[in-house]
Amino acid sequence: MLLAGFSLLLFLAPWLPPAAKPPVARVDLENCNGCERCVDDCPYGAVMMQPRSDSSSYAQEAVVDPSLCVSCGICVGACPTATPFRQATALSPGIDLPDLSTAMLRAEVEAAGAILSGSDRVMIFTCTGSAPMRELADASTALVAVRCMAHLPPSFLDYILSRELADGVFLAGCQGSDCEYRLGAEWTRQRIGRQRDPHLRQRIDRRRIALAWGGKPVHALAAFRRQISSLPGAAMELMPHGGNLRRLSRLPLQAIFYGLFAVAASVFAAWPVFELLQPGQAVISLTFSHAGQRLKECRRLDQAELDKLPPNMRKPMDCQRERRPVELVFRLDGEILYQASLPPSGVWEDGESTVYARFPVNSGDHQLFIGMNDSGRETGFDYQHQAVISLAPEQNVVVEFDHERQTFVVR
Amino acid sequence: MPLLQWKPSYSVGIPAVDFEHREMIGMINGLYGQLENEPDASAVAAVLGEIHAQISAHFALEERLMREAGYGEYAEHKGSHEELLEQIRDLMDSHADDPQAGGALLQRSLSDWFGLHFSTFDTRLHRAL
Repeated sequence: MLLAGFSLLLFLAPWLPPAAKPPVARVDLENCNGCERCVDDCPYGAVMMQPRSDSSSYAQEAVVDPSLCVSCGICVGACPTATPFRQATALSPGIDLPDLSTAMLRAEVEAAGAILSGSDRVMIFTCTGSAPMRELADASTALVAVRCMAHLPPSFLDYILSRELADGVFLAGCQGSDCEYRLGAEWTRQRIGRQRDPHLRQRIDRRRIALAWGGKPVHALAAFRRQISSLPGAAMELMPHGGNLRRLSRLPLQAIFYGLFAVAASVFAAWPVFELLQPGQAVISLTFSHAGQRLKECRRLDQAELDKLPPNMRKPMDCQRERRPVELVFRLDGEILYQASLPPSGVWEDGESTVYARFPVNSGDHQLFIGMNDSGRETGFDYQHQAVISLAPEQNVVVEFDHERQTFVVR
Repeated sequence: MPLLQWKPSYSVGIPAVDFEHREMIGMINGLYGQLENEPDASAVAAVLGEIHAQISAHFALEERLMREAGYGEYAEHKGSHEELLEQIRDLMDSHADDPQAGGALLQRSLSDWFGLHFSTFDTRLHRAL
């Protein structure tokens, strides 16, 4: 029933109304001069330029295609007017997310900065795909959520650090398949590295900014905190965000791992030694499967017993599945080469017992005997075979059990 | 007498760029007057923030036009834009730290670099376009 309902749901899925999606990015012509940075950065090709629709002196304006826009906010992060330093007029950038506007973001950043205390205050930015990290928030750690890491304009980092709203900014973004949107990490890295517009201002102490992608960056955050608390007035020059140090220590580690791999490879190349046959030897192999008899005979159920069972489970014979082990003895020239009790296979111990054994022997004539029990009898054998075989050097003789004729075969 | 005055020679022949240059001259003159009369630190800071945003957008537009025109000295011009944006941010911070001294510095610096921006780079761009 449940399965049928689920199947029906899957079948109807293409016709179901789409999940509610946040409102798409909106262009504010008052603040758009047609610089095209949003067009350059939109990973979905959702922003286009078209001739100006108002009477301003500008030639072009940005237009959002609502069917392509996923409301990631990456265009806002690219817009030069999305700077929190604007204070005389309303903070309305040329392009903005209606439900998470730049003005709202600034208000949130200012509120977070107002309650932070201590000398190592960190403002963590998370994106839609970040790991949940609510519990990291404390007196000196604030969390601010953006849609995508590249939604955050680099000027916000300048704003937070120069207004001393925090001592460090930690960008905790998503990674790989956790990401809701494309290119967020790439654009963020490039903007902070001043390879992509808008550039992060050079004047900002880069050591007060950390980037971490994927997972819950507990250790990276702790290291970052140590770094920023040692910064003001510290004469010691720290390596930028510890990356170099980690990269350096990686080299010898890598060398050690490669070395271990080479040693392991050479060991297994020479050992264990593969034994070729001695000159003048032949091989006899026992290789077959045989099912032991069932532990108990099948029993016919009487009518009273059948009536007790549900109708679909009534079958006249009650058979136990377990089988006996198969006892096997193999002698060559009167000497026992192999003797074993082979257990049945399978979880229910109802499968065949299998033997695979290989004996190098001297070539020449041999008296061969094999006996097998599958009924659990104490003396004698259920099946046995005796033969004189003549082995040539390097000959390979196989002893099998023929199930049809219920007899051993030597060939 | 305003600090800066628009001259026809400033025109680069692109309406959008000329319009923004005029707007910026207006803003800088406004700020200059503000600093002369009653320098209320927070009002000055607010106007500075506005100028910073305007100039960021202006440079972004200029850079786009330069790229479209295949302007040969793009990298150099772009570098000077970034440099100027750094300087404005420095000015904003020095004013925030000390509105008195910062204000005086502003009056000197703003007209200086704005004049420089006009005379050197934008006219060269004009010729290139």
